[in-house]
Amino acid sequence: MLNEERVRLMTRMACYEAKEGRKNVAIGNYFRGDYIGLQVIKSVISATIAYILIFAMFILYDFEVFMADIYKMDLLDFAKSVIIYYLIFTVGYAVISYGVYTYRYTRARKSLKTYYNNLKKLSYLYERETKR
Amino acid sequence: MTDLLVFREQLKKFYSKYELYLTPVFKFLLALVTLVMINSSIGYMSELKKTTVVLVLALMCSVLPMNFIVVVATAVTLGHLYKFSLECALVMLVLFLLLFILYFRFASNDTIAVLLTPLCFILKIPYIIPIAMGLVGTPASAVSVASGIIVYYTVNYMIGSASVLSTFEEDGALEKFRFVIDGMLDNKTMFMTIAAFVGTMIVVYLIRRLKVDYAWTIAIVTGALLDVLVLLFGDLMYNTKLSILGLIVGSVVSVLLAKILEFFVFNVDYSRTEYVQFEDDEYYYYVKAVPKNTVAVPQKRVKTIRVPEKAVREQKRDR
Repeated sequence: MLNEERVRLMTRMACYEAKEGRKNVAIGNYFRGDYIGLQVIKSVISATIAYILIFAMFILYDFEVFMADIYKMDLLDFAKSVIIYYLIFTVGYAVISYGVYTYRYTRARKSLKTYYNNLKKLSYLYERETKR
Repeated sequence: MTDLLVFREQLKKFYSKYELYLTPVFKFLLALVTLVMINSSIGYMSELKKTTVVLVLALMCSVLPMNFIVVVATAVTLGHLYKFSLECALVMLVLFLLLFILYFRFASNDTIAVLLTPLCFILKIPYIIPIAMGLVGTPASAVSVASGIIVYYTVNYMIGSASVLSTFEEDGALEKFRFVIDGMLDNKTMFMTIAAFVGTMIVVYLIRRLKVDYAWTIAIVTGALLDVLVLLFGDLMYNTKLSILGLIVGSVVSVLLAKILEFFVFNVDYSRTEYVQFEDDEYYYYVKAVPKNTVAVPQKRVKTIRVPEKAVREQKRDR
């Protein structure tokens, strides 16, 4: 027999899962630290790519001067400054994404609260049905 | 006013009924307008300007996710620039990559903002963008709006300096490259516009979330004023050659457009018919959930008033 109350609840939950809930459910599968850590790692990777691109443009911009100076300049010093700028850039980017993704995780959790309550309700409905 | 409200209700009803077909149509139109605009402003590659190519690309966009439109627009822009000058295409490719890294990390569902920002610049109504995005978006939309502004100004600069670029010698690739980068980093108007738009957007967003009466109207007006002030200030500081009349007229038009947007978005739930599938131990469920309409739309009813035949006969007999 169809249980109308249960069908209604399931429909509402399926709607949520299909629309705004889709992303939230995916986020909700992670622990807080795991989710934020993963996102920060992704950000560090994208920051690295961005830094390499910017660095390549920088070299290309002054290519002739750079080539002429390459034997004169202190390469160790140059590498040191490149790495320091890289660290500043990446850490800055990671800190910003840490903030953004912490906020997103909290928001997704809040939005999932009703969803989890509905899940509980659903299992309660099932239990009641099997008892009968 | 009542007529307008009724119109809004009818629109809502129409949308919820035909949502399945309307969304692809909107996507198709957005992609088509974007491609036509790109072709008309930087149409250097004739292959990409063919009607069939444009239509096929737009059709593909209509069924694929929204972000595909951004990818197609990027590819088409790069294609045109490649024909224009290889160095410009290279700079633009790197710029696009950098912006994509930012955009897909922080604001990947903001396609509309990314696409509409350059479009509104071409249509000469850019001032609507920060206000509209502040009203309907989140602070993360700032990334998309800024990306749109950067792309517009950079492409504009490249096309604007076409005559200068052609004076460089054949083997002057590095000089050309340097010229383009210098022009891009030295573009004060671009940086002023980014500062003004991002500031306006965040202020509009913060005000419209306040729990006060008329928060949306206050947000729109404050945002427009702030935008004008920052841009005028930038003009004074850096001499950005801003058209003051254009700024004021554009801002007034933007406020009016934002009011219209408010009417259609504020307090309106465009909930739609949902088709969902799920199962339990015994059944598969294919459910069509139709939203209830809470506000009644007056329907035209034709009522025929008829005198019963019996009464007519009786009247005749009495005479």
